[in-house]
Amino acid sequence: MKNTFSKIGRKLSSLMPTKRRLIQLYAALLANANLKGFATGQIYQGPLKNLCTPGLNCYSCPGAAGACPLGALQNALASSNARVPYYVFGIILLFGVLFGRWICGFLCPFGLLQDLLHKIKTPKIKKSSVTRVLSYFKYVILALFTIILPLIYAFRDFPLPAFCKYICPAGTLGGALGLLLTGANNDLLPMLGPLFTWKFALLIAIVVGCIFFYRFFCRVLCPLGAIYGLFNRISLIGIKLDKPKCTDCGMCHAKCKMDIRHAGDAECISCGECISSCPTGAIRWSGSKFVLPPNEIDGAPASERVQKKYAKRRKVLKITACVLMMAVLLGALVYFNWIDKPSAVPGNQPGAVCYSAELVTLDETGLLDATFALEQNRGKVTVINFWGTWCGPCIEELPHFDAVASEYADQVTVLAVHTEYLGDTASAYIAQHYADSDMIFALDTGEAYYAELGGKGTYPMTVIVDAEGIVATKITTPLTYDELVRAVESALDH
Amino acid sequence: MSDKTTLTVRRVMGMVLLLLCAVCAAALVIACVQISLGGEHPFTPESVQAAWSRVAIFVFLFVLAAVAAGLWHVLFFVPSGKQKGLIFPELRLAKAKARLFRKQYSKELLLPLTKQEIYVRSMRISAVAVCLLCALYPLYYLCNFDRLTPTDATLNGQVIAFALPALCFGAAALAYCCAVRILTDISCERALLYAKSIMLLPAPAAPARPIGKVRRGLPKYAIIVVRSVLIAAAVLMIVFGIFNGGMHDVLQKAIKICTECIGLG
Repeated sequence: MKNTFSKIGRKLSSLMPTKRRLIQLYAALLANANLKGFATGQIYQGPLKNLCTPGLNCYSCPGAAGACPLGALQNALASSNARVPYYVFGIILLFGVLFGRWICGFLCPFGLLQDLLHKIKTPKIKKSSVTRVLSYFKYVILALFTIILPLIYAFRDFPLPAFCKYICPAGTLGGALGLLLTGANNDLLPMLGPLFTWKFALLIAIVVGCIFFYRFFCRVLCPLGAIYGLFNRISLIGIKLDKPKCTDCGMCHAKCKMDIRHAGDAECISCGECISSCPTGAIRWSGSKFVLPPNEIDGAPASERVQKKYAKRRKVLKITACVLMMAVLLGALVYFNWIDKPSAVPGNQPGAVCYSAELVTLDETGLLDATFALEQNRGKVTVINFWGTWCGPCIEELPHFDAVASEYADQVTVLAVHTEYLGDTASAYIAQHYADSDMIFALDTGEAYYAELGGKGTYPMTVIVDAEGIVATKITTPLTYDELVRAVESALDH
Repeated sequence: MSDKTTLTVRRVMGMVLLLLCAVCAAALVIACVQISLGGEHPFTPESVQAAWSRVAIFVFLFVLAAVAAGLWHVLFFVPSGKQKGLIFPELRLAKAKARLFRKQYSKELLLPLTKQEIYVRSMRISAVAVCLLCALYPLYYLCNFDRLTPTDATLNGQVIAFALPALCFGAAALAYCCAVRILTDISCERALLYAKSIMLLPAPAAPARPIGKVRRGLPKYAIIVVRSVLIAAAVLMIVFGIFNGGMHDVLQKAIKICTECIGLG
């Protein structure tokens, strides 16, 4: 009986997650603390999204509690013709210098997913000189998709977060699947097209790759890992190599599943698995001198008194850290799921009377004193398009609205409402591209009108109001010219 | 995967690619013969279009297959007789060199091996470049069709004007790649013999390693200074970014669903 219990105990203890896994789970839960978003299909829109999470976590995921640093970087670069993105640069620099790639090993939710996928029992592909060469590809992705393409297109007035749009699997997994699988966002389903097919196929390929190949995405594709890796040698937290003690035996290299040359280099994710393999104790955690007794004092091991002192210090630090972490997590869960109340979506659906508003109109000289009120447009169909200069699909479809505005000038008024965000750049954009347009441009202060018309955070959004002021159609997807004409003609026939 | 399995897989892949080349070449020849026997003179736009659709695809496939086979043979082909050890002679050479370097033989002694590595790599790169250039030929031809095809030529002449150079380019690429492979294998084997002869020499005594002295990398105080400066710079940038609206930009994008980022639109 005693043997049975001890066997069960041993089995249970072997199934217990390691400390690193617990920290990874904690970080993933904290980064996605808005759990009610998965049920309601709405993303968190509160002030905490000013802050970037350190790891890769799409901010369009319903559970996301903060902004993604990579997405923020690309959007900041895409708007760099308006202002230099010091804030995002500063955040990423701070994360890099403080943590380096320790973030990849401990804090990144997508890294956790890759570790769990790799645990599936299949033959594994071991690292080699080929994988070492492939690990440089993420620098190409960083340079081309994360920096160069957004910058080039920024100066062509077209925002393009190229990595997010064409590659990022976290966006497809957390964002698309997270929003669509709840059933609360079925109006987004018509937007599934070739881009989603490509991204979904890429997600599947990465998932399969991660099963056979340890941390496939981290090693080959992740530009965030590439950035943090540059700071690995000077980061405050992480694995450090004591070079005088290192004998180049290669044991750390053999134990490690990443493409390192030595522990603590740019490929090291500071998981700590190599520490036990080093025969000379040259690999240690930074800051370990504070909590571990010195190995040698005048050539002899530390005394019992010194060892007790350090043991007590470790215990105090452990308890304090656990209490603080649990408090932060509980506080976050309570705040996101009970205290934070998203604004209720008003019932401005097709068939309802359209909320009227007086919007301040824009032209190329800036804000006009004139206002546009919907009541004044009775007898004509009004097409209200919510757009922004920061939104690529909005820029792509705006020429269609311009064409409709000129073709149906007698029967239709097209109102292009720009968000308050980057509203100061809208006038210059309109002057450059739509100086002679028949569209009326307006500014949505505080995005209040967008919210009144039932906007849930997706741009562009088009609301077509018929001649009697009744909402005929509300579309939350980008429109082709033919689709727009069909919708307008349907409202005209109404 | 064991070495033997890898060997077999790579040989099979190489054979498949060569077979594909042969099939496409045969199909091309058959198509050309059919067209000439069909006697479609004078040509009409419809007959030209029909002929192109039969011939061009074979030529395109042949050139691609020749390029792929060439690349495959350059990178992965294993000559018969080499069963044991690592598959690529140049990898065995690199391993021997690394072993010699770890034993700290002098750089002058290892110089021929370094030169050998550079030679092999540049030959391989040239083979890859030739293959890629040849693969571009069909595209080049289609883009400059009017200039390259004589307008008064017969249909046969039109077809041959496209097919013949394509065949020649493909065959040349394949031949060049095979020649590069053979030459580099021969020179790698010679270099390996040289490396083995060096290993027969007595290994030099390992120099004394200074204890407590950092052998490479930044000194500790430099790391602390760099880290402090970067943290200060980061904090300043964050503060400046808050005041110039950067933080507001992050918030405004993060609270909206980025449909293109999640693959919708």
